[in-house]
Amino acid sequence: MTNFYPVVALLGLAISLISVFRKSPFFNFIGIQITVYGLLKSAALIMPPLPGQVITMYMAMSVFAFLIYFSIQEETFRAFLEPMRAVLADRDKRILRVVLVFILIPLLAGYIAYAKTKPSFEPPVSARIVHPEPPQQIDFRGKTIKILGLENPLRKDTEKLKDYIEEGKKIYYQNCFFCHGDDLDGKGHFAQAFNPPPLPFRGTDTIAQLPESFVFWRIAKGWRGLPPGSAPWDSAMPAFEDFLSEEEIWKVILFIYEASGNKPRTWE
Amino acid sequence: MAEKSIKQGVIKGIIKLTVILGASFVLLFMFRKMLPAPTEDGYRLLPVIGSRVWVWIVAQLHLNFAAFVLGVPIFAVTMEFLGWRRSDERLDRIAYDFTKLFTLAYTLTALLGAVLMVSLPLLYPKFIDHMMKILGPTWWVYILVMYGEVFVCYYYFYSWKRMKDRKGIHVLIGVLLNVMGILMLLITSSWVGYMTTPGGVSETGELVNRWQAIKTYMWIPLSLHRLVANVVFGAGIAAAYAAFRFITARSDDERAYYDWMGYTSAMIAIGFSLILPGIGYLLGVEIYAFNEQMGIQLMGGFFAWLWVMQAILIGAILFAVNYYLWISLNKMPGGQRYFKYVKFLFVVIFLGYAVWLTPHSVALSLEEARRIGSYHPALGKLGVMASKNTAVIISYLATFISFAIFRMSNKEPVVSWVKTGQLIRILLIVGSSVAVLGLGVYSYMVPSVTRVKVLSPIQFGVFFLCIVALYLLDSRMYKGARIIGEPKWGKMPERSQYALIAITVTFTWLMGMMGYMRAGGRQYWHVYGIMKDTSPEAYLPSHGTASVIVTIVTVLFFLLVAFIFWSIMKLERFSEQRRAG
Amino acid sequence: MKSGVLKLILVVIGLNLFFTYIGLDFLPQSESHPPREIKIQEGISQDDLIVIGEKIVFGKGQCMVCHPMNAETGMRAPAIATIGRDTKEHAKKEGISHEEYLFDALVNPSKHIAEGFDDIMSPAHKPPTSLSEGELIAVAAYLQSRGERVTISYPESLSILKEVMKKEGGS
Repeated sequence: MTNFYPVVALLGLAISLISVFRKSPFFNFIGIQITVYGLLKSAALIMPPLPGQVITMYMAMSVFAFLIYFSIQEETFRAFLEPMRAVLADRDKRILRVVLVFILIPLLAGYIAYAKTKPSFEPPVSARIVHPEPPQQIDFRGKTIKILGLENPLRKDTEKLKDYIEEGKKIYYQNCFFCHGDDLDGKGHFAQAFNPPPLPFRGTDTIAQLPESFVFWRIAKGWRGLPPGSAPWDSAMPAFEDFLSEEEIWKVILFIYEASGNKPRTWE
Repeated sequence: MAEKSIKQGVIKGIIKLTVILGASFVLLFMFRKMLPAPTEDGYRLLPVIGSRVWVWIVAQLHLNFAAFVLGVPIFAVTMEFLGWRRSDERLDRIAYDFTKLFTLAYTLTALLGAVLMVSLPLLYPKFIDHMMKILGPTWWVYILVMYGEVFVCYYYFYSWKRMKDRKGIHVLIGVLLNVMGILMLLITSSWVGYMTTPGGVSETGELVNRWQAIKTYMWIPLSLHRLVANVVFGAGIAAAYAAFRFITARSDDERAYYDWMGYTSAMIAIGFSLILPGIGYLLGVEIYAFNEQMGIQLMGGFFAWLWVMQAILIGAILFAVNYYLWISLNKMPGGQRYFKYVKFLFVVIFLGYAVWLTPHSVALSLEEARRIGSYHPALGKLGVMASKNTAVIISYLATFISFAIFRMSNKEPVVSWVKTGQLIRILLIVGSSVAVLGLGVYSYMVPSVTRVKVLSPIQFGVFFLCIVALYLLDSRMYKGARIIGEPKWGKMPERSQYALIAITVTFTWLMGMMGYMRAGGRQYWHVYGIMKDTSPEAYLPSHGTASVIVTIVTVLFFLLVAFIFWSIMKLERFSEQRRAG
Repeated sequence: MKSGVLKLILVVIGLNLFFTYIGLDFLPQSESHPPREIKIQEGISQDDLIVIGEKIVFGKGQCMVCHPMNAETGMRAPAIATIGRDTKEHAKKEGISHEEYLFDALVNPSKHIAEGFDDIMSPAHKPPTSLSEGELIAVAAYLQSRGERVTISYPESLSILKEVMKKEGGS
């Protein structure tokens, strides 16, 4: 199905080019929109498909922007409106007008009504906040830990840092590796079973954007600790406070940063 | 209006303010006696719409008007000063028109403020008692400054025609007016600052140090942000006024004047908006410094989606401004030559807008979630600050170039080094774009701290240096340039005026939304971390509810503004008739 | 001119409607409520009661000083994870109701000592822990939830607790 979208894009481009040649901004506009849509959908060929909502957003922007573009110059704007005017007013376009008003528009309205009322078994779209706000403090097995401004206590111990990382590695492979993967890329053995899949640690845009205190909170509290906006029911992350000690969590944090080549975010 | 004597005008203004204040105190006193006592935890619930929505709407409307009457004088006085120095009648006229606008808006501002002043202590007695305990003295200073402001404002307006020969002193009065305005702004910002990032009190809310309670984290950045945004907003309203007058104009003369006024106001608005992101950034940094949790909540947590909304709105504003400038090329003799560049500018702004509104958090259907996960490589890369900063800077640069193109489109440089000059310009534009882009890409590879504290400021710095350099270059190159023809002011299609109105509407909406976010950042606290909101309305409403209320505020605001516009026209016609008959 | 003003009004209203549409239809809708402060009071749900009970077990009650979460060698007191099931069995053996057994185990711990353990627990409603009646019910509900269906609720179970406490006072 996705292979079909580059063709759509090309088709749109063809319409657009022909319209430029025939000096018809209106069809040029249509062609451009088809091209943009085709391109956005074709993105699925090289990466995970763009979410429908994002495509809607881009398309709305594209329509808005090109309407603006074609109304800058007086002549272009008039030429742009010409087909619409012609359909509504010209004598020789009567059949088209009748078809449009009595068949196409009612059909479209009917289709929209159908699509809106059609029973669907899809659960509603859920918005998920990727970066939820951490609480001020958490209750770690009866001990109150202040999350704000919390730093990794092991990081200061530069002499033993190597050992800590080594121990963190062991902990990682005993606990985290099954989901987050051998390569820390979020593609562990179980990853396929989860929806959404586990977070990758590689790359500069996941844990690299987070302070260690945040990571500690996520590991300790797991899915249950997520605020409602982050759809806790959409996560399978266990609360590791039940399985790991405070120090072990800090060690594994040292390891995932070290192994993924990232540095935790700091505020100073 | 101007026929009235200065004394009469000022006295009228003072009386008006006193009556409004007096009436509110009396009403407050009476309602307190009449209404049932507040609930145990200190609330009176307004029936039907609820206390919160009521206070929200009134406060935001009051704030909109206050922004208007504080923002407009800043550039009105500047215009008057420029008009005086250059002996330009037209500048003096536009300054006078601006002054007319804000003087008339004063009464409405005061009335809305009075409604707020009566509502708050009645509906939130416990909270207001606390505020009075901590910041009470500033409130009385505020009333004093308000009197000063009204006095100076009315004096400034009514003495305009009379002090024609003593312009220097008149401009000085205008400056004094702005000093008063900034004082008011500082006082009110200190209240909001205290509510959001409190200081100077103990954990139980006992006053420790009043100055600390005033001088909170948010105080100065918020005041600066509001000050600049007020100018942008005020100029936007002035542009809307000009558009309205353009559309209803009866003669070509009028149309030409209001076209020019709309252009000038819009350029003031967009010019000042260039520094808003920087100050907004400062405000964000201070919020993070105060409390990281509040920072994340505001930027990425519950409010994450409103930033997408903000991106949509700001992008629309930028697009509309460029659209206006591009249409304006039509009225410039020689403007046709530049349409070929518009294509490129359009593409740049289009792509910039696309990146700018890419969300980081996405709403997914189950099927999509299964395939994509919570993390999408493209959105993860484009949805973060590194790319957005870059996109918005590039878009702003393109906007500045649109502006520069418009200004020189009717001129032909005559200096001997034209070729070199053109080359320098191209180098400047390409060079700074590449630098900004490069820095943007590089900022993915460094820790966030470096990005926030080093690279982003450099990006903004490069941008400002570039526009200053372009400006200097152009003013050198076009010195004594051959003028192909004077701009044909008034020869604008009507749709350009709708673009101006759209900018202002969008801006007002944006202001309402950001105001909500600022207030909502406190979550369920009246005073963050000090005093909990224990009323049933302590929750944050859904984004839909919030947008409905912001829309109500915006529509009400424009109704009131339309009323002001209408009364100005009425008065003008009235004085014209008097002069005629 | 009239049509111009009309269009102008349309622009203002239209834009506002458009923004509202985005807000209502495009943005996700959820409310952010302040964290619920649950108090033990009439009408509290069993789920909430269990949550409060869990907090007390891990916090104020100091139960974790002796009780482990999961059974382990050398433990000084019975494991919490299966305590609901275990106590139910004991209760059956002694021929009293599960609720009564649990309350008894809290306020009069010496009465039922699980096999293989010493009599080391102090009554939960006396210093140092000094749990209130409501808190005792919450803890009992949490314990019951570890492996059994919860039958304890507030304030319905208050009468049983009071009876158990009276007995403890008499003996």
